[in-house]
Amino acid sequence: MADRAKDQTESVTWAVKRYQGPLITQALRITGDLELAREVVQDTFLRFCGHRQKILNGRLSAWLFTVCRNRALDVVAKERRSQPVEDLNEWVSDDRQESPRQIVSRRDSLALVKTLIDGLTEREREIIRYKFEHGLSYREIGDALELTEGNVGYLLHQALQKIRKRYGAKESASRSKTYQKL
Amino acid sequence: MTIDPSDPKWTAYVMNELAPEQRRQIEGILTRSPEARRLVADIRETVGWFEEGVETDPQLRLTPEQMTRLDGGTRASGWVSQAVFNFGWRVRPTLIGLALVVIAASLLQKFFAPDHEWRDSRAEVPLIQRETVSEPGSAFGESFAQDHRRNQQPVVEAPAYGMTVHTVPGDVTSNDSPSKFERRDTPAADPYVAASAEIITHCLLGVGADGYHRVRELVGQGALPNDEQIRVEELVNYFPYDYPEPPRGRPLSLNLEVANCPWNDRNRLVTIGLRAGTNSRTAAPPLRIFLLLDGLEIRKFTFDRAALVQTVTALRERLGHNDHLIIVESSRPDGAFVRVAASSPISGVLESLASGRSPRQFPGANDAGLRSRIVSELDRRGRNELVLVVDNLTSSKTDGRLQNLSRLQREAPSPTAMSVLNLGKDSPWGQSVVPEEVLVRSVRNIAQAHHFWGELLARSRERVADQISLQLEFDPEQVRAYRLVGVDEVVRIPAGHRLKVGPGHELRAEQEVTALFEVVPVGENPRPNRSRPLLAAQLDYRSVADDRNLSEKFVLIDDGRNWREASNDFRFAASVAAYGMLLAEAPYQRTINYYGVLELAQRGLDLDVYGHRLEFLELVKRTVGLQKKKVRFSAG
Repeated sequence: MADRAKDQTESVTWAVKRYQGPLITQALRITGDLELAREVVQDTFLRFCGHRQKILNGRLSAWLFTVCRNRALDVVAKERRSQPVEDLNEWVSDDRQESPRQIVSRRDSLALVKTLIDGLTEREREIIRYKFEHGLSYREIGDALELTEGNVGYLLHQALQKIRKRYGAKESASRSKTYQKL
Repeated sequence: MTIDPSDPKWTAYVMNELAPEQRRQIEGILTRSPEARRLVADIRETVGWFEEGVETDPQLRLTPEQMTRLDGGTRASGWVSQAVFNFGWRVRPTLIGLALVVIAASLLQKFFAPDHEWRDSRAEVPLIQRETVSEPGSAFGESFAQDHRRNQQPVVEAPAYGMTVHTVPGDVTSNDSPSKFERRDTPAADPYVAASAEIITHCLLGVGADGYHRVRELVGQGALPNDEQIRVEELVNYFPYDYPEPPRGRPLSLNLEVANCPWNDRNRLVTIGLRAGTNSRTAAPPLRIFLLLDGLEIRKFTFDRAALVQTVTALRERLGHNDHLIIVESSRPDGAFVRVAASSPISGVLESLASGRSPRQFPGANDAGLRSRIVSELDRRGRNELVLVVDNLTSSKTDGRLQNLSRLQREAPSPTAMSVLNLGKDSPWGQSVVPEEVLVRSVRNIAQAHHFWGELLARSRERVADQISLQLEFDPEQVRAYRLVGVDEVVRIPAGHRLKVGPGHELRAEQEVTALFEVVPVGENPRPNRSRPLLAAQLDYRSVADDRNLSEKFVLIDDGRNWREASNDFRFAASVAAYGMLLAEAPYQRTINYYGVLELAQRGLDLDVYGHRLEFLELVKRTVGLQKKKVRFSAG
């Protein structure tokens, strides 16, 4: 019994670590309020505490994202206090004239991200964020955005191609070296 | 062989999302097709840009309070916790929602392979090479062995900016006027002390955390602090760091690290962390804490009840086996003393006090009655702490209660300290009613509650070392100049005078001190010299447990690492220092702004047991908002 309780505690801890960021992102997108989004996610995890591990085993991310989405929609319906989302991009200056390599060389990671995702669709940006900021798999991103794994793969590939097309010319000088390494 | 670049399988291959069979197929194509290799290389490079740049937004985390609630929910096995912790929103499991869950789960179930491995992209980087030198005599650092030569010389002490810098002249050749300390109100072009002229620096170790509390209070109230209210070294030393325990048989550990300086790429930054261990030979004296709630309208619950519950909960977690917590509620004649056990539900205790149903009530709780009752409860063999909890610092009642407690303190038969815990919105800074020796802190959340108790418990812990002296000697072949971060006064000692660290420096169990030195290397494009130490340090102190005088020597070798490769503690301490310098508009920072501070701090968040570092991120963001409005604190 004690082992089971310990396993469950560790499982919840792991789930919080792994999913709190993407879940808050999802809730924030719906509620438009960071505090509200955090509360929604906290409530989601409290509900997760109340479920037996064996029931959730194998479909944890789908369960979490679905509960979180429903909860956020409930809250919005009740609270009606949607506000514009504060964007991380406000933190950085506009660096459109620089190439990613130049930005990497001056170690300004926030500017780099802003530069790269500028010009992508909202859905593509979301996938990029979930993939690289939160490290989610295709399947987990699909759970969060209600897409199939195939859709996620296609959209991510498309987004990376767009970025490559946009900056490919600037990086051509360094490309040949990269190929030789392969 | 032609390939289709628009096929998403190429990206899926790079992202490791393919099944083993598909992966083998792709690898087969790659061995045959230069075009495919070129495409995969393109994708890898593009992915690499993101991996270089993306960090999780710290806002996308639950707050420390929410984590605490979750922790409580987990411990309660969830079944009960839901009723206790929910927010009053009722679940609306519509049929559509349920159907979605079931359908999505059943469709995805066959694809699921639970991956319970938590990957942390920020791998721990070992600290820079550190050696303990048993015998002096290496070419560098030899001056330590020759100190006796200077012992006959008179002593000069120089008060500086919080952490005092003393310097030994060594081979001073400058023509500065003697016996004058030079203060540069207007920063010069090169505001650093030349290392070739002044070789040894001593740091005083008595650094408090008041500066951080002051900045946080002011920023919380919507005003930026003035320059004189900002103490960079106090900001840095507010935070606990993860320095290792001292080696067996030693009461202190010295931790040195160097990397490039985040706010000035041309310079190096050295962090010095001194940590006291516990005195294993003597048991810590028992501590009895009296939490005096009569400054609150407990029966009306007009104060921040959540903050009080969090405060008491945080304290209970930190108390030792021999320590006791006693809650005193005496605002009415039927006041009560309640001993809080480790298993007591805090909310329940407060409820019973508020309703007057406490079983340990005592009659006649006027001032004299209360004093005599508390005196009778004091621990006569150990230490006692009287903590007055108020929600209005400026009221005349608070003043009267403090005077009453001061009398009690004088009458107490054993060591008894006082502190004031403010749950109200008013700031403790500038309040004349509180005596200077009384610890006064405002608490709004559990992170602040933990810090308050940390400070309070630290002063009751046993001394493990005193007469501490730390000497540092930078290698003049590598270091052109240096500056103790937080010290904006350049102190010069006239030739022929011996410096000495002021006596009486001591550290209590588990206490830490952190200092940062910004180092200007010799030459324009210096390369790290792994064959010579950048810095030699000598730590002298008396071990209180066995009354022995000890001396340890260390050297620090610079391997040229970047701050991104440094420890979390290094990055976080540097971010706090950079924040302080930005606030004070110090002339030393060149390449960092508040957004850079945020990035730096985010990369040092890992060791944040009580949520102090997350709170710092919030402080920086709030400061950014105030900077736009340019609201400065005004005493008037």
